[in-house]
Amino acid sequence: MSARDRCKECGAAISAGSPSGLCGKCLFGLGLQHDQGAADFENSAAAQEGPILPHAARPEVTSKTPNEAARLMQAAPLTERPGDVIGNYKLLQEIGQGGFGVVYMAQQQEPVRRRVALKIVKLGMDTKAVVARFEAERQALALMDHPNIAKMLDAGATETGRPYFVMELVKGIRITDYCDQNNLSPRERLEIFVQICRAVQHAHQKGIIHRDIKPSNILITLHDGVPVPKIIDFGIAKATQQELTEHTVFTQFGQFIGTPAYMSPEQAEMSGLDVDTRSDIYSLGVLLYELLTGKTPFDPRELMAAGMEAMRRTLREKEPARPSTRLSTLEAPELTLTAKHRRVEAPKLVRLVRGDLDWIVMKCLEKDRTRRYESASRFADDIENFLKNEPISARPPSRVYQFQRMVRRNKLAFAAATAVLLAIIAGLVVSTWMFCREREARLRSQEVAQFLKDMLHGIDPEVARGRDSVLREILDKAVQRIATKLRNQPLLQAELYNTIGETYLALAQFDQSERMHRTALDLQRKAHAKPADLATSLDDLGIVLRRTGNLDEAESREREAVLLCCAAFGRESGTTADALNDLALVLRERGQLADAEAMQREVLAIQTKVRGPQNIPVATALNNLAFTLRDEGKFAEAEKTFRDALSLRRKLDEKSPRVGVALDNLALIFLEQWRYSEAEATEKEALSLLQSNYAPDHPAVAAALHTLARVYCEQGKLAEANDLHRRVLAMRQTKPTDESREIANSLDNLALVLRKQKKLDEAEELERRSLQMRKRIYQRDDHPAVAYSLDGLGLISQDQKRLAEAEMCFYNALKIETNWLGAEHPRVATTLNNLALLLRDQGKRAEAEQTLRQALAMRVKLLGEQDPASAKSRRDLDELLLQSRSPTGGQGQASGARAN
Amino acid sequence: MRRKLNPKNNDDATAGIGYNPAMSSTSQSDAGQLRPDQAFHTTHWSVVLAARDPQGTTVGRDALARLCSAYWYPLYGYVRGRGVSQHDAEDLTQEFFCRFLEGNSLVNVSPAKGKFRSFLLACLKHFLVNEWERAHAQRRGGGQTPVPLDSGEGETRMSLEPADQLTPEGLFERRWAFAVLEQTMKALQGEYAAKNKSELFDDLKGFLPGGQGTESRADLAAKRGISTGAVDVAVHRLRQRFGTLLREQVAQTVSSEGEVDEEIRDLMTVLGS
Repeated sequence: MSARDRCKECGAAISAGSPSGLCGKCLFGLGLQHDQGAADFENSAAAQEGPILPHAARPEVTSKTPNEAARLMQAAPLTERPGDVIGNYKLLQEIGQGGFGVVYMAQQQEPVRRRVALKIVKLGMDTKAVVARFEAERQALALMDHPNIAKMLDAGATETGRPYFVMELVKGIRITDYCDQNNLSPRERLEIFVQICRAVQHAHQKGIIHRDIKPSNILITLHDGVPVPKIIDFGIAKATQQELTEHTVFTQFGQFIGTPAYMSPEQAEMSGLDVDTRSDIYSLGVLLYELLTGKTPFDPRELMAAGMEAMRRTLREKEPARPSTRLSTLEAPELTLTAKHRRVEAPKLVRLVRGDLDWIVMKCLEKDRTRRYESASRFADDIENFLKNEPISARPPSRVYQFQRMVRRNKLAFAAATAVLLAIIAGLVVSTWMFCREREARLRSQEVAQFLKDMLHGIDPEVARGRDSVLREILDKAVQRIATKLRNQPLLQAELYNTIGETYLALAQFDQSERMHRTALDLQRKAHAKPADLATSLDDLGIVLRRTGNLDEAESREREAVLLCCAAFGRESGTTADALNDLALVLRERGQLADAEAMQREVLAIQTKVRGPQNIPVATALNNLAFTLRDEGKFAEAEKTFRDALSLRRKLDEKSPRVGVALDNLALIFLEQWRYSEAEATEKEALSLLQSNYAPDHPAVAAALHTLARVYCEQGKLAEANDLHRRVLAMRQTKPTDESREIANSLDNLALVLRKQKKLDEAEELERRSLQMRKRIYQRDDHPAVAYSLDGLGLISQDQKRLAEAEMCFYNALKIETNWLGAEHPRVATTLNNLALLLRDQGKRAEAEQTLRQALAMRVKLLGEQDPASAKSRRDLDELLLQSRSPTGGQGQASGARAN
Repeated sequence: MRRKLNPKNNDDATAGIGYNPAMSSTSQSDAGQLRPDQAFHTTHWSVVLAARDPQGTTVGRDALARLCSAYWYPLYGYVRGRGVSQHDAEDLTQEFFCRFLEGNSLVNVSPAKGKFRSFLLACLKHFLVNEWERAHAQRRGGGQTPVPLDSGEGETRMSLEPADQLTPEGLFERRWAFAVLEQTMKALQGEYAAKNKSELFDDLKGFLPGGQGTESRADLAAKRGISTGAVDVAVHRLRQRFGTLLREQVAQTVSSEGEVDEEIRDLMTVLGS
């Protein structure tokens, strides 16, 4: 940082954006100083402004000649430089800067010549008092003799009246940097950490409290290649801080405490409660937390940004996340990096920290200092116990937790009896609530809720491999219990409802899922839940609504969710991207394909950036984008994107049923491109994966069978196609009145098979049912799905020789399709081709030829010369031209397969 | 295609809002010119609080509008930081102030610790969260009071700022702190200008903390034909006056004079991180 960027008066960096490039902090300081007593003001003004009132505070300046005085005024008056001599020390070079001041390497001249570290404290404190306090502790400091403690040698005041401290020069780097740079394993970190605890214990025995333990005060040096920690700055914090009143601490806060992240609650409180050794224990706990997770329990930026009062409240009241929890909530790339720096796999790191280490750290971080380790050596002992796999003294506080631990340890055994466990947990929520005092109960309930979520997540059908029916029953019971027994905890209730709603959705129990999310949303709105929580409910609800075809409400819910996510996390966050993804799906279903595509590309970019390129959300984004591309008729691009999604899925988990879904989707795009043998092979692979993972009537299985049936139909295997479609219909429709998009699709496609089988009456009936159902579901007459039915109905009518009716159907379909999909789209070409053949049948040869040429040109343009669809159009055209030339060419010959 | 992607209501936030003549005396440039003899009680945040009451006094409303105008930028920055486009952020911020001045839509939010800063941010958050619902639930009525502001200014400043790692709240506080300093600077400049001493002000400004002081005091003394001692005194006065005005500026945003120091310290902390 150049001198230009630093304030000459306080030495701090001048913040970008500060008005006129002035030092914002000092400017505010002017407001404060003005308020102080007159004498005080004189003093500080002199100290701050030096040359303004040279006679007041610096008589030595007035004795100089006017020229010299002017020179002094020009120069930055209060900065030492290498080469300057302070007391017995000659400054050699600057080796560090902090909120505290500047550290120099210095040469001690006498009594011994040696290199030392000299720390010059920033302006703004009573130098005499600082030095006096240091003197008072000098005896005790001198008694400290420990290889892991840097010796404090001297203290004094510079000519400019700033306090300085001299200590043993430690050439090392801060512990956190060292550990990360050298990728020390958790064990190696713990071993170093134990040494630090022992050193702190030594100091405590001599009656010295550090008060400012943090990574920058613990340096690692190498002795014959062995890392040795050295604690520096013992004694400084006390000399500079103890006597400060609340008033001065506030003033100097930003300068003296670089970050409050390591500060114990009682230290932050300044309540007059004596800071004792247990405060150091707390700070050591924070340090261990950081060594394990790479993070401090509270985000230092947030602490500082929230202001003094909020900061104190946080330190006093907020329970930090356990280290393992913190790790598992890191975004994937960060967790991977954190784990890499510790030479373990990410999941293993979480597992390693979870349990004993969690408890050791949390015991240090207790708000109530009497519940922390009573000494640094007990702390060290416990870590050594852990390293030796012996029982530790830190204990989880509740039986609920112990139960959880037991469950976790026996997860495999429990997995078999998940359902039973759920019932127990549901009961536990209740009993916990009943027997504990409110605050405690709340905390515990949250723990249990988290646990329930974990467990429910664990039994996602994808994992449970199809044990759906038992789960449904258990979930129903859990819902009842939550409703009655947790009535006083609406937010907790809502959280659990959302979790259960997701599970219902995974089980394709749409009604229950929708009800859960609606209830959750109501509860949260009434209880003024956080926007982020509201967004979760809204998004979940939007997903269910989309699945059930309620697109209007789905869109408005998703938009609200996106807005809330943006407000809570910013646009570029995984959570917002999730909500955007779901919104894009709604848009796609509404036929707003360009909007959907743009949004999905944004989602893909955000997810790749935020979560890393190899992640489930990225695969999801690719898959969803591919669908929109398919809808837009961009088949080649869609195929490529589906293939990307598939290969990513395979990389993530080859056995996952998601791979089956990806295969199913790829088969769809083959089908779209008339590549039936590829489609069939791919679909069969998809089916084998899906059927081994899901219940036989799972929607994913039904979807794959449906695709296969369509392939069969195109291949002319009509009996098989008919069979399969009926099977799928039975899976999708539990009673004849059921309606859904999927059911309408089944009816539509079955009708086309029946048409080919010449069962025209039944075909017509089913096609009309599908038409009506689609109009109801999409709540409009001009949805592309409606156009499918119209197109099918046109073909059937044509075969029934109701040509005028057929013409109407095709024209209407065409209108909808051009309106939604644009004038040039593979589907438009298909309908044009169908229309052309109808025109031919009607004897309108000129029109038929013109229309066929249009269809052919469009197909060639969109799909290429060689595409089978293009070839079909060309064949149809050749035939038509042939017939028109041939005088015997009759209308009756133009039947055959026309459904494209 | 059929619907705009942006969930924001397309209505211009200011369209159809009647202009209230009572407010016509307030303008952007007025906001900074607090007369030095202005006693605390007339511009006090507590008066402002009272003005939230629809029956509140014009004085209070006036003071509130002026405060809002002075601190428009940090709020706008916060909205922008939430990933909203410039245009939408301007609309949202404007809309927010309209509602805020209207008062009654914010009765649910209680002033946090009496600080205008926290209160305003809490209100804004509340507003942003509810915006979607509101936009759908009701059409905007007339009768709100527009806050005069130069929205283009906000964006220029915004685009100059480095991408910061701070939280939106942290950034908000930071921008707030700068806004306080800027308002103070404007007031100070205004005072010098009123005494036809603009030039002196420009000469002395560089001697405020962090200033680069392009000329030394000796040079300045020579230039103005006065002694260096006189320069020292002038600089001293400037700094002293800045302090006084700063306190006044801050006093407007807290509920009692006793909180001024605390707020100043808080803002120092904000800049110190």
